[in-house]
Amino acid sequence: MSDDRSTILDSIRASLASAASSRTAGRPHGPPPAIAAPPLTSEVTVPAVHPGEPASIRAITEFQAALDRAQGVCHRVTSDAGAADALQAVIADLGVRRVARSDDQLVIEILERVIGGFELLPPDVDRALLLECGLGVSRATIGVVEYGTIVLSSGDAAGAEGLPTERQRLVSLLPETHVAILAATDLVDTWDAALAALRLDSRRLPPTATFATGPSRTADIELELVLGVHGPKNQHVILLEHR
Amino acid sequence: MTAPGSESSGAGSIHHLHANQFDDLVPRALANVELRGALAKATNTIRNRRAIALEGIDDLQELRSRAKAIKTEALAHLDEHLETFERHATANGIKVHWAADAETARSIVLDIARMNKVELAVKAKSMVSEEIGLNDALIDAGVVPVETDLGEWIVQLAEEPPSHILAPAIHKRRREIRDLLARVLDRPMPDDAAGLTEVARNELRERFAQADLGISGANFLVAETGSFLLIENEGNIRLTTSLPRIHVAVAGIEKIVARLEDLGPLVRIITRSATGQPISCYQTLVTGPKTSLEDDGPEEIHLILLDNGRSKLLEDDLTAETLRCIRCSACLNVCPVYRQIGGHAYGSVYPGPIGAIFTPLIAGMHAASQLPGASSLCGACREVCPVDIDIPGVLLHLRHRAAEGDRSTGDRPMSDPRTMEKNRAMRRGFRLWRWAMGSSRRFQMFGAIGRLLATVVSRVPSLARHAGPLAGWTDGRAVPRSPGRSFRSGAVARRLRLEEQNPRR
Amino acid sequence: MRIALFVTCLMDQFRPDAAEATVSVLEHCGCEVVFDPRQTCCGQPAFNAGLHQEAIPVCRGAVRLLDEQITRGGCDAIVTPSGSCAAMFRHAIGLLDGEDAAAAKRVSEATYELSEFLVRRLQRIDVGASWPGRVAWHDACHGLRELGIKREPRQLLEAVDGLELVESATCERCCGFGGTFSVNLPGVSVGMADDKIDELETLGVDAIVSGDASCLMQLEGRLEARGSRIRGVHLAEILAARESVTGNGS
Repeated sequence: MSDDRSTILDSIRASLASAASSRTAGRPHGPPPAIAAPPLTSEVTVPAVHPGEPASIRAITEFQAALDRAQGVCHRVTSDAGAADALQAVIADLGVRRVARSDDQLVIEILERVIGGFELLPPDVDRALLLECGLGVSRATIGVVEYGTIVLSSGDAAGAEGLPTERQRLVSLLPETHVAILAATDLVDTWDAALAALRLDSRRLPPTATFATGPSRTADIELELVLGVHGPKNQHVILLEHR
Repeated sequence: MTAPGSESSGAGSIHHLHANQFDDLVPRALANVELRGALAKATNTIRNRRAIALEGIDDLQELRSRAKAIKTEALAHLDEHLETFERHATANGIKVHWAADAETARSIVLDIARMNKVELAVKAKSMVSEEIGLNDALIDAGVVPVETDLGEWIVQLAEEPPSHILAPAIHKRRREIRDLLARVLDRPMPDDAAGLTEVARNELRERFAQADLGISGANFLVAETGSFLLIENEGNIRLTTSLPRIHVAVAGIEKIVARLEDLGPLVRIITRSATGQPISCYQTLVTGPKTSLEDDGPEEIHLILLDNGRSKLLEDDLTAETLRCIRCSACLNVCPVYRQIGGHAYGSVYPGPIGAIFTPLIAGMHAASQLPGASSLCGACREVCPVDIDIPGVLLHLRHRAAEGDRSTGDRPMSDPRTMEKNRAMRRGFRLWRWAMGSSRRFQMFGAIGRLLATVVSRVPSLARHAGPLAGWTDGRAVPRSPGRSFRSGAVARRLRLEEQNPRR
Repeated sequence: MRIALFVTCLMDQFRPDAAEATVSVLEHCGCEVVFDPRQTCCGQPAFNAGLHQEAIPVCRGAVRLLDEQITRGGCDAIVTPSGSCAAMFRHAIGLLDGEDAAAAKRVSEATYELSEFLVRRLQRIDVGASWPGRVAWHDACHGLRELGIKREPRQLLEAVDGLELVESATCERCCGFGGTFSVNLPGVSVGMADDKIDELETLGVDAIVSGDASCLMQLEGRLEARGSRIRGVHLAEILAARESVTGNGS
């Protein structure tokens, strides 16, 4: 294997050198020379909204509209009690019996306000039970205004500083419905800004970060759009405007 | 680890390659009415979606040139970026492997499977996995590979290769899929796409839960952070990379980008070019295995860096452009040739315009010398390419190499005798053409013969069979009406004639 | 303005009327047209087949002849009624060596496809033509994608008295000709033509108009084999037409 390493690197270097020499020599019979790459210009645009800063009404409404276009549902609430009501309504509408949750503090607080009528599974629930579970509630690390995307960032919740990360990633993946709790202060304008923010706060990137936009989908059969394949069929985001 | 007798360093191989049968596969595809109906409908739909998705971008050309610059710059320093990637990924806890060829890549995966006593592997759609023939190798080693992308699962059940980079079952009609699933699963199937999708969801959930190994490709590798990005819509990649204890990703070395922020422009353009969505449903950035405090995620992540003939492409600035490809498949969807024949006719896991250049470049001209001819050089592929690969330019370059017997690259001579004979006949024809075009008098004479021939054949069509190139022409087309005279013999041309100032050569 | 006409081999031998129409349009616009009868072909068929050894002498012949016309023959520009041949001179820069490559550069810079020349260089849109009928335009690939010709022919056609221009959804799609491609993969080539013709039939046009004789040969060949009433017409033939327009021609 170490042989393959040097074989590959040597081959790349030899090829690059050969291309460089034919570039200076000029090719007598070749096709027109390839256009030289333009230099990489400035750094990526600095996000207009930083996570942690209060979100504007524009950002909130645009996020909602974008998620709507992606066939997701955004519930705007202005209090933790409102969030609990919204969650309760989603659970009741879908007739869900079992609810899974992550161990994020905000998720716990909101679920405590929900009256019930379902079985609430602990975060370290067995996988087989999770596969049977109708709905999962977890925290969104960041919301992306331009696409209605939520960032689900895994990691060591205890050690995380700044942005929330989750110790459970199946809660947002296995159940048919995923409800994400998103604080308005965690909204950023662009996908690029969300990516930058993942690193800003924790230097190192989380082990896994998933950018999710709406419910999972496929068009593999005659290009007909079907929502809900392997990932969630329904994607709800409860957007806490007061946080 | 490379087995004795495997390909020499630098040469690649593509699994189940039968691109040299292109001439036989094309008529078969053309005769398949069902296939052509499915293709016409599907390619129309995707190209329209793409066009709509790109309308919304004001600075499309700027985005394209940025995407192109990111890939070009990364390839110009590929060796350094790969080393940087290896250093960071290793620090993150990812085990990085290097595979010069397909065989080594397969044995790395098999060793991991063997060491962990894996019996079942779930797979997320990966072109590279198809390229190296991973499924067959797994089956031979006693591991059951289950494709989990819906389209890929369907073609796996049908025991067919994918026919499109993104929509592997694009060549199949819904009722064909329904009948296939009913046969394989031995129970009645629903009629609609949603119902069939639900069947796949339920069937595959069990497999996800049982598998010890998840195998994926990777869309981009980030040198700066040692991470890799996976792009998808279905969620099967998330499951493949979250549920099994071990995750193995196989990636071509050209997938590298220098910086984390390079991902933004590429993500922005890839899905729009591919399916016409503003953004795919999921992009997952993997930086390392799960930490000790996490409940979910793989304990081990392996990343295999595959060359398999790619590094050789960097020898030439034009062929190196091919390595910019981000596998969006926009070129397939606009290609009028792909639209007629579909993906299987190319006889390679890489079909369409990009396949017509990538396949012979990786596997050698001797293995796919007919593919560069599978184009009218209309340029629609280059027009839509998000990273501006000069596909027609590379096609011309490869046609030249095929015509010259590929002597310049030291490849084996073209092994397919039929292609060689065809090329020889073409060369003979063009030698005559060159002679005819070499003087005005001969040109005029050959023109007269051509017009006469057209007149004769239009009166007695059966004669066309004996009329050289005309034989192919009259297959469905009338011969051109002969005007009975040339322009230069007419009064107008004579009036315009420039007196020859210099003596003839 | 003195124009060197590069008439193209195909038009010379198989479409003399369109070639003469090209001359007539240019002269109508006040140009002096010269034709050097030593010219034959630009070399593209062999070049596209990858046969450089065969393409080079033919291409070199065309380049040297045209270069002579613009450097010493007093010609201000080269006009060719084919986007494909005009694009070939760009490839000639990389194909030819030394002084010939420099000549190819001069030739490719001086060469205009007909509609490009009329609209961009002469800034003429109305050339006084009249042609009664309903037509669709076919964007020949090389003119469209290598030379960027899209608006020019449409502007010219819209100014033609009595002519109704219909936009076809498949106007940018290749006709399937592609030189040796058309005889190497005839089934695919014919299928490509059918894709366009199927739509043209629904549009109910009288003619399909193009700026390239090769595309027209392909489309007409297929139209005739299908027994269609649609004909193929070269842009020059319409621009030179002075047919009487009866009824309510716009």
